[in-house]
Amino acid sequence: MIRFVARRIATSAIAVFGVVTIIFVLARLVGDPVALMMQPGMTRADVAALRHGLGVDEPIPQQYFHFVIGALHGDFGISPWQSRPAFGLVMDRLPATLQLTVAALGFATVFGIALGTMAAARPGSWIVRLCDAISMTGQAMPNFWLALMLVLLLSTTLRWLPPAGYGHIENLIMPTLSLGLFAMSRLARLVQSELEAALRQDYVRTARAKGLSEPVVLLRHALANVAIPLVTVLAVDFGLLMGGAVVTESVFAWPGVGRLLIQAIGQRDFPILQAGAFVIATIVVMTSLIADLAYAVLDPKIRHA
Amino acid sequence: MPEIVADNALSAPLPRRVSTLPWGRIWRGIRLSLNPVYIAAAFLTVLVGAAIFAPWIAPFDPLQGDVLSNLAPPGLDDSAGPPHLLGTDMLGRDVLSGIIFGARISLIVGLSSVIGAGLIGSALGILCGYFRGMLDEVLMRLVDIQLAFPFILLAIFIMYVLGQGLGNVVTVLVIASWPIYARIARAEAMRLREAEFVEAARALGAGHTRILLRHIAPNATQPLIVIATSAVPQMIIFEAALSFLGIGLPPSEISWGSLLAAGRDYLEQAWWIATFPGLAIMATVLSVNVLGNRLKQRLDPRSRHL
Repeated sequence: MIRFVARRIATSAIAVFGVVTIIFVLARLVGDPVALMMQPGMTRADVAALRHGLGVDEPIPQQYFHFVIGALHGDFGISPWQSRPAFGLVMDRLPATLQLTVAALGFATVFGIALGTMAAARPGSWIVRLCDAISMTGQAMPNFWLALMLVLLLSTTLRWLPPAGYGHIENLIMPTLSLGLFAMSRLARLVQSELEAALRQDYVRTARAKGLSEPVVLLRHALANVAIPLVTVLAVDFGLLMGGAVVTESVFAWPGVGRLLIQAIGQRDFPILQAGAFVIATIVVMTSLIADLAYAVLDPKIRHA
Repeated sequence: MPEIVADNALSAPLPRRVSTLPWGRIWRGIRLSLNPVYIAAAFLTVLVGAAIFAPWIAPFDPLQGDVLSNLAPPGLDDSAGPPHLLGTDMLGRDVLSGIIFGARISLIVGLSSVIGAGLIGSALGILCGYFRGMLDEVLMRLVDIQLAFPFILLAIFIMYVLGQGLGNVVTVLVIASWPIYARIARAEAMRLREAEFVEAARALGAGHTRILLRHIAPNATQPLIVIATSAVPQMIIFEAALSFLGIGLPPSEISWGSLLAAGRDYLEQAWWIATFPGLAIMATVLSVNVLGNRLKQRLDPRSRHL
C-alpha cells in the first residue's frame, strides 16, 4: 500500500513537471513577447534592456534552469503586462474557475445519479427512455453551443437571467448547465448500466430474500457498490470540466483561469502561462491521486493487494 | 420482463376486419423505419452525400455574401432571388450553404484525426505492451503528462504555435488524442502476449514482427474500433470549439464551429446563425453515437445492456 502510494505520488509529480516543461517550450515557440511590447521611438538599447528585464535575453536552457529554480521556490516570475507576480494573478482567478467546475460537477453528480438510479429501478419504463434520450442528446451537444442556446432562450427571449457576468447566483446557472450537461448525461448512462448489472448480483438477491424493501436494496446495497467505480469517473470528469471551462468562461465572460490563459497566449506572457499550467496540472493530478487513494481505501480488494 | 409481454401483445393475431389497406404491415413498417439506427444511418448518408456534392447541392456560394440580404430570417421568401431557407448572416451569406460546405470540413477533420491518432496511438501502445521495458516506462509517463493537462488547453497552445489551418487542426487533434488509443492497445497487447496462441506461435519459431502483426494486432482491433467510433464526434466537437475560439480554421475555410462563432454576436437580432450549425453538429454526433452503440453491442455481447 505504501509502495503504491509512493509510486503514485512520484508519477504525479513527474506529470506536473512534464506539463510545465512542455508549456515552457510551447510558450517560447509561440513567439517573442518583446515584439509585442516595442513602442515607436525605442532605441536598440531600450529593447535590449526590455529583453533583459524579461529574462528572455538568456539562452533557453538557462531560462529553463532559472525558471525551475524559481518555481521550486513558488516564484513563477512577474507578468510583464500586469507587472505583478504571475502566480498571484493565476491564484486570483482560480476561485472563479473552481466555483464553475465544482458547480458543474455537483450538478452532474446529483442529477446523473438520480436519473440513472430512477432508470435502473424501473427497467422497461418510460423513465428508461427519458434517461436514454437525455443522455444521448446531452452527449451530442457541444457545450459552447448549448451555452449560446441557453443565452438565447433564458436571456434574450425570456429575460430571466443575465447573459454574462460574475458574482451572483443567477450568473452561475447557465455556465453550470452548459458545462455540466455532458458529464451529467454520461454519468446517468453509467450509473444506470452499472446499477442494472449490480441488481443481477447474488448479494442483491440475498438482500431481497431477507425481506428488505426495494429502496433499501437499491440505495444501500446496489448503489453503494456502484459508488466505488464512480469515484474514478468523477475524478476524470473533473479534469475534463477544467478543460471545458476554458470555452464556457469565454462565452459568459467568466473571470477564470481559462480566460486569463487565452489572453496570456495572445500576449506571450510567459510567466502567466507557466504559472497557469502548473496550477491546472497540479489540480488535475491531485484530483486523480485523491480518487485513486479513495478507491484504494474504499475497496478492500485493492487495500490489501 | 415487461417489454416481452408488450411485444407478444402486439404480435397477437388481430381481429379480422374488412380493410382495403394492410394497416398492420404499414404500421409495422413505420415502426421499423423509426428505429433510431436507421434514422442515424440515413442522416449520415445524406450528410456524406451533401459533403461530397456540396458545390452542386448548395444553393449559394457560402463565402459570397450579398449585403442587400444580410441577416435575412429563415423562410421561403423568394422576392429577391432564391430563398435563404435557413437565413443569412451579417454579410448576407447563406447559412444553409455554409452548413453544407462545413460538413466537408467537419467530416474530414473528424475522420482523419481519428485515423491518424488511432494508428499512431495503437502502434505505440502495442509495442509498449509487448516489449515493456524502458520504452513502455517513457511512453506511459508521456501519457500521464498529457492526461494531467486539459486537452483543449493543450490544443489551444499548439494551435498558437502552428497557426490556423486545416492540416494543423488535424495535427493538433492527433497530438492531443493519441494517448487514449495507446492506453487501450497497451492493455490489449499485455493481455495477448501471455495468450496461449501467442506462445504457440513463439514455439513455432515466429519472430517478434510476425507475432505483432499476425497475432497481436488483429486481436487488439475490436476495442480500438469501438473507441475510434466514439472519438469521431468528439473530434468534430473539438474542431468546432477551436474554430469557435477563433484559432481553428482561417475564415476562408468554412466549418460548423466558425459559422456558429459568427452568430454569437448576433444572438439578439439573428438567432438562426448560431442555432442551425449547432443543430448540424448535434445531429451528426447523435447519429454517430447511435451507430457506435449498435456497433459496440454487436462486437461485445456483454455490453448489450449499456
